[in-house]
Amino acid sequence: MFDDVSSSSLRVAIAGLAARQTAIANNIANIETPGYRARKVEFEEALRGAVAHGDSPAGVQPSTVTSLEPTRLNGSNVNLDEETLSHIDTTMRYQLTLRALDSKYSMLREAIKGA
Amino acid sequence: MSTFNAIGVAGTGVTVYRKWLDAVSDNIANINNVSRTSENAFQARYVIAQEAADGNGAQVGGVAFGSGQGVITHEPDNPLADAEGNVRKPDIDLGSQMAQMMMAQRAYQANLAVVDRARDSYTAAINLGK
Repeated sequence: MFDDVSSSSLRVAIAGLAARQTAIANNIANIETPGYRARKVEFEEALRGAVAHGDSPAGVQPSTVTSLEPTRLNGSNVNLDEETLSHIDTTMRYQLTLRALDSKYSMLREAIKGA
Repeated sequence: MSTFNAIGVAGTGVTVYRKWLDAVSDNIANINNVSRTSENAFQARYVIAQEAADGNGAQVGGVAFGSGQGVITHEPDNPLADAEGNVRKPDIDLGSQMAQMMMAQRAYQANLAVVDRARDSYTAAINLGK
């Protein structure tokens, strides 16, 4: 009941978005760090693949890739506008996903309570 | 990974850039220091930002010092002047210090903005199931 495809997909998405939020915080904290390379968290492709193939989405782990963008003079390649937009986007998605999971749970709660 | 990790990570960034701002204001405050030619001039401090050792955020890796050589200036009236009437003043470029200050200030604000947005997400998570 709690580990159907939609619930576990939502949980994987929340974990992935939380990891992305931390990665963005890390990138912005290191915006002036010489030699630092921005990191990006990816999980959407893996999640989509798992759902499409009928595998359990619960096994999907977010993966971290290093940005290959050209660096600035100090050797850091963090792009503040991109990170800021991505952080706002991630925050919205995170809240949307939480709301979806919340609705799912409230449906279950209604079903448990009965008439 | 701790629960409210993004806030902590952005917090390390806020600390680094606050220290950077402190160093810049210290440099600007001492820009007109005068010392004897037999002593070193005030040496500008430069904060070195680096990635935190545990991979969560940034930290101050160390401080680099500018040249103690300074600039020899002819000020015969100065009580610190040597026999030839020279004193030593720091070789700090105000323009470059102002540029550093703006960089540190913007980075500080960017990190605080991350704290703000991360708090919104976590507030939503806390209200889950209410």
